[in-house]
Amino acid sequence: MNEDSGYGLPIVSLVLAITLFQWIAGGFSSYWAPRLIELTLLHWVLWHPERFGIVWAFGIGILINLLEGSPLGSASLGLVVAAYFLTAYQETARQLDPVLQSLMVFVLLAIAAATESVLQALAGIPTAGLSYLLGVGASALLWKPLSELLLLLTRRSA
Amino acid sequence: MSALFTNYRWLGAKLIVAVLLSLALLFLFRESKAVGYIESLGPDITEVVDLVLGIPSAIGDRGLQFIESKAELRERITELESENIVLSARGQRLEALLAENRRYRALLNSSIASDPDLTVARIISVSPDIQRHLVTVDRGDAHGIHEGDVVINALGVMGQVVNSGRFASQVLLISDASHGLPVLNNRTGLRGVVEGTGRLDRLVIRNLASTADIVEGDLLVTSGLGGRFVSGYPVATVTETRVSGDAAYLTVWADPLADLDLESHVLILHGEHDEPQPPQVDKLVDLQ
Repeated sequence: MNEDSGYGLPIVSLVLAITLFQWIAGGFSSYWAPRLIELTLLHWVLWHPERFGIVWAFGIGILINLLEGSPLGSASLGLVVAAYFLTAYQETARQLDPVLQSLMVFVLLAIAAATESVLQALAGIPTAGLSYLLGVGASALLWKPLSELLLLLTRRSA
Repeated sequence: MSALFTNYRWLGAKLIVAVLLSLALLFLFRESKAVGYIESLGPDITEVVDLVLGIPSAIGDRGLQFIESKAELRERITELESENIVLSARGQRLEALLAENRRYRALLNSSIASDPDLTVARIISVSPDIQRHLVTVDRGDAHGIHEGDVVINALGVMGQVVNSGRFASQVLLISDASHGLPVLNNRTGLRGVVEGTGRLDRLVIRNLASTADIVEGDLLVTSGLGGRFVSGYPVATVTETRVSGDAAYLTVWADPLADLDLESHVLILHGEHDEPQPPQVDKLVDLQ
């Protein structure tokens, strides 16, 4: 399951996720927009933890802050925590059935989003309550199809 | 196989370092030049993403140009030419009015700020962060745009530049919950600060005296106080006033005039801003 595909496919998938996310979320009614960048990162952390982990989560968090125009560091912290749990418990996480795995992704993304929201509030930026959970829910629904697609592409490119 | 034997010895240490670094970026170094420089890359990255997203439509446009007949193009040119004549005539009228306005101001002996430069910009993206009303425009330092420049459209004030990259800038809209804008009531001259509410169609002025003369339909314009926003630009119309329970304060709700979510092109005012004018006491005494 863990075929070696180098860094090519993961980086291409992350660039595509960034582009798609910017396109989907680039409207003012984007509460339901799935967190594609975080989802793609979590996939690579789960299936290639030897290459993608906390350092990548930190870097992607900074990139998300730059795209959102939010203070640097606010997205990184939550993502780093999510990446830590996923790396530490990756063997268990991989064996979960699709529903439980999606639920796990929901919890991890909710932790990341809640941390970002709290940190932004502490930095003086007003927050919009728990509305970020809608996007997190949409992301959890998208987790299995996206993960399966990336696994298929990994196998093809190996 | 590699995943089974991945070395996780430093996992905890990496987590602690990354968490501390995130917190330091957020609370210790937020105002530092290095962080400011990295943040200024944000609009440029967004523009690159926009360019990538625009490739399919650009190819489509090229295709359409081939398909579009010469007759249609001639028709469009004729339409644009006639539009241009109308706009030029209106521009001449505006010039005459501006000149007249300058003469009146000279008669009143009041100082006047020179007209700021205008740059037309296109909104290329909206921040994916649902909690912020932040848009990116395709003009940056290279076009003379700097932090603090005011952004308007044909109807009124839209916001201000908060982060300028080399070729793109981020604009905080007046509807963002962290935005405040000094305004005055065009009818009475009453001053206040209109704040964003996080909703595109609603602004608020809090804690006015309950006896303040402000009613539904009043026009709020920029007051120029604070020296950032040029005075006299329309901002919003009052839609509702509500007196607090103890009748001490008045809260005013207003609709922004600019269509904050519909516009694709904006005008950025840069160059000179109004400076707060010192009170001309001697002139007032003369008048008395």
